Amino acid sequence: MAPRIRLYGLRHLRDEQAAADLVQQVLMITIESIRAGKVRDPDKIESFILGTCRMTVLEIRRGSSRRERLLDQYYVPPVSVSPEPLQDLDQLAQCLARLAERERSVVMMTFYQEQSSEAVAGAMGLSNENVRVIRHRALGRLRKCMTGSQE
Amino acid sequence: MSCANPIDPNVLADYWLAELPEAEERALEEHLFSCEGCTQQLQSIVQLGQSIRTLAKQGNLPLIVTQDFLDRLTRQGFRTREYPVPAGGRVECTVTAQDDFLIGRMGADLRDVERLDLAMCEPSGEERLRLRDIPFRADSGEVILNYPVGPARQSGPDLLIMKLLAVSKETERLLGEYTFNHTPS
Repeated sequence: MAPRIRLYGLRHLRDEQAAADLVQQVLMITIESIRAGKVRDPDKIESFILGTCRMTVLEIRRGSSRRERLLDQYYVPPVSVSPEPLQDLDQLAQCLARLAERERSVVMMTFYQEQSSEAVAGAMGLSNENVRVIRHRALGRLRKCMTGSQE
Repeated sequence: MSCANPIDPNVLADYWLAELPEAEERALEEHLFSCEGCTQQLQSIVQLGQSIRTLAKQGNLPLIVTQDFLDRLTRQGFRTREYPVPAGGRVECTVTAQDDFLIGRMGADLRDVERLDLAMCEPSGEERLRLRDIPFRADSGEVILNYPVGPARQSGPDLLIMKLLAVSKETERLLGEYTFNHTPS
């Protein structure tokens, strides 16, 4: 489950270290809960972990000190979840070069700056919906190009 | 890792970019936590985004950018070398080993332009490359180009003419011509 917790952390906290901390914290809480008999249905452990992720992210945003308390109670070594390896950058550059200029700009602004459709639209003089359509089309082309499948 | 109800990659991208309605986002997260295949698909999108960021930081893609993009680079400690040129203008330019990004700012009246192309030409007028249908803001009064810094560093003396062209169904109109006279540092 660690990669899923990490992805959840990256999505909601936008920080690699914070996501790694979330993994550690959620696993600690899960262990604590299992030991305390709070997880009654093992088949629902995924839902329990997701709920814990949501609660923990809220607590992190509130600056809660629960993590320190749990570290004192149950030590869980830092969980190593490697960031995704980069793709072949030469190939990606070639695939990006094949995009229309407008598509390339939308993709770069979206992922480099992590800007919302609204922000990209404002910067480029497009509508939000237009930006999303361009982004969807561009990502589809990039995926096909990177996997070598035919467009 | 197959999935009986695989999530559309575009929906996963929207999720990653925090652009799904909350109820849809929560439902998708429930699915992700029980689906290895869709988690892997999401990871590949995250990986693509990280790779794009790395490429962008290398400055080697010809790319139309915005002032926000440049401001962000500056905040991150990157050094940008900028050359603003008015329509019909000429600039003496270079790039050094310390520069991370090479930026040309071409001034033009973009009002009433439907489609905009940027042509990179030889002094003879022959086109080397054309960027078609480039994004622009009609009220910005300029187009900002990130020129690939690597090739520029390796280039000898070079005279490059850039042209901004307003394109309609049957005609194209020259909005401005910009001469970049590159000299190695």
